Amino acid sequence: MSEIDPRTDELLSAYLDGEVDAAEAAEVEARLGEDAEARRRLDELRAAAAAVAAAPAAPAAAREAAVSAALTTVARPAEPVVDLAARRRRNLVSAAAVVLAALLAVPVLRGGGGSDDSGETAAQAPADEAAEAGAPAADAGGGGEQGGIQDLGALATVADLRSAAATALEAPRMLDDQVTAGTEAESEAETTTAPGIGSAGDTGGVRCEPEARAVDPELGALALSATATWQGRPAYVLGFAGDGADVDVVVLAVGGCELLAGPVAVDR
Amino acid sequence: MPELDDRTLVEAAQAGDRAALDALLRRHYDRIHAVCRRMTGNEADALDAAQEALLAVVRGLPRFDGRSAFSTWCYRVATNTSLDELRRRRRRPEPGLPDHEPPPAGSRVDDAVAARVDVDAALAELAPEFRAAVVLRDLCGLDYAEIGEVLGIPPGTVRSRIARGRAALADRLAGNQGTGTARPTPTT
Repeated sequence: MSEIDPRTDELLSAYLDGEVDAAEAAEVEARLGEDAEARRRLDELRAAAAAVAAAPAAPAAAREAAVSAALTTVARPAEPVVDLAARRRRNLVSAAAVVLAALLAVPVLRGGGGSDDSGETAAQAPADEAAEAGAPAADAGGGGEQGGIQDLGALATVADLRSAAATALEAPRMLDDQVTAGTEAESEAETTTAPGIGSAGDTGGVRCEPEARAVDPELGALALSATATWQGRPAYVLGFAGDGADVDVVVLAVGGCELLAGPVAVDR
Repeated sequence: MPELDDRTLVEAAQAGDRAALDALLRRHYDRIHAVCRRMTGNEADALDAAQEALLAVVRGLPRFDGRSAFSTWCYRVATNTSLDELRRRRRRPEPGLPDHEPPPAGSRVDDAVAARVDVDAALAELAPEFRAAVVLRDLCGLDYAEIGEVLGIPPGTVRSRIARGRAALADRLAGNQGTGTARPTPTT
């Protein structure tokens, strides 16, 4: 019987892990071919590795508790993407805007005839007016190409979302056009509805506004309402005015308003 | 909702997407806990360390640069929080430690025996630095270069630590006591 010395242990151990070079592999294989003790030791090392790998599973309740506790700490993260200090400063303003928007939007949504998109267009007006964030000046001439909801196209990543939302926010035809050309928007809504929205009885993005606000009660007034295809799923993209230049953008699934992404801070 | 990869979830979570963060934490908790379990050797300390690790992941996420896999970074965090937990434990009484009863003398290691043997006790015989190398390899499946990165040691040192740690573990599990193998301690 041969002696298993530390160097052999190291070679066998590294061999198990595929961390030997060709010469070492040849040496190990030659040794294993002629040395039963080496083969026995290899089995022992392999069994030790397998035993370590078979760690007891975590209790499901522990996982839930740990995840919940960790998420609680990000309600006010140390390094937030959104400037929470600024957000707090604007709280009074945005809270007032939310209340005003809700009061005005509900009767419009319920009483508005025609398409649901018309409800969205009308509902955005007071919300936007209440916003303090300096949306682009209204273009009374209706400079937008269309009065319907804007589609941001296929978005796969948060970077895509930021870029598309920033571009949309730069365009003067956003809410202001819809506000000033409300009637026109209403009439065109049926034909200009974005892909993925017109089917299955889905309604405008404002229908998902409560779900978006449930994500973060500090969201400001509605500043962007668009559609997109988020990672292959038809989605609404809602933006809420932030303090100064930023807009907090939330992505929600068409049909059910499931949160897909956000809030993501976008400069405009 | 389709299963998103870690990279996508990390990017979304870094941008403030709580749903993505939730999914990430949920996805990696079990493995983080397993690392902590093997590193600390008992469930109570493992749960504490895993909780700390999750908090550290959340706090550190804005600085995670994606150069390593997210899972590898989680293992690093879990290893460090476990080592912290072990240091704290050394400073206080240890009523919660498991009994480190040796396995039946002369037993041979096979899968069935390994399942019954107290692996925690065997791992507890290893210095934490050796334990970490073995755990990162055998539990997490990291290669030597990755382990070296996590532990801040050269791959050659990783290789020797894994070999010595695993050999001591094999001796213990196989009941090969008295082979002259002292508890391995880091020399490099």
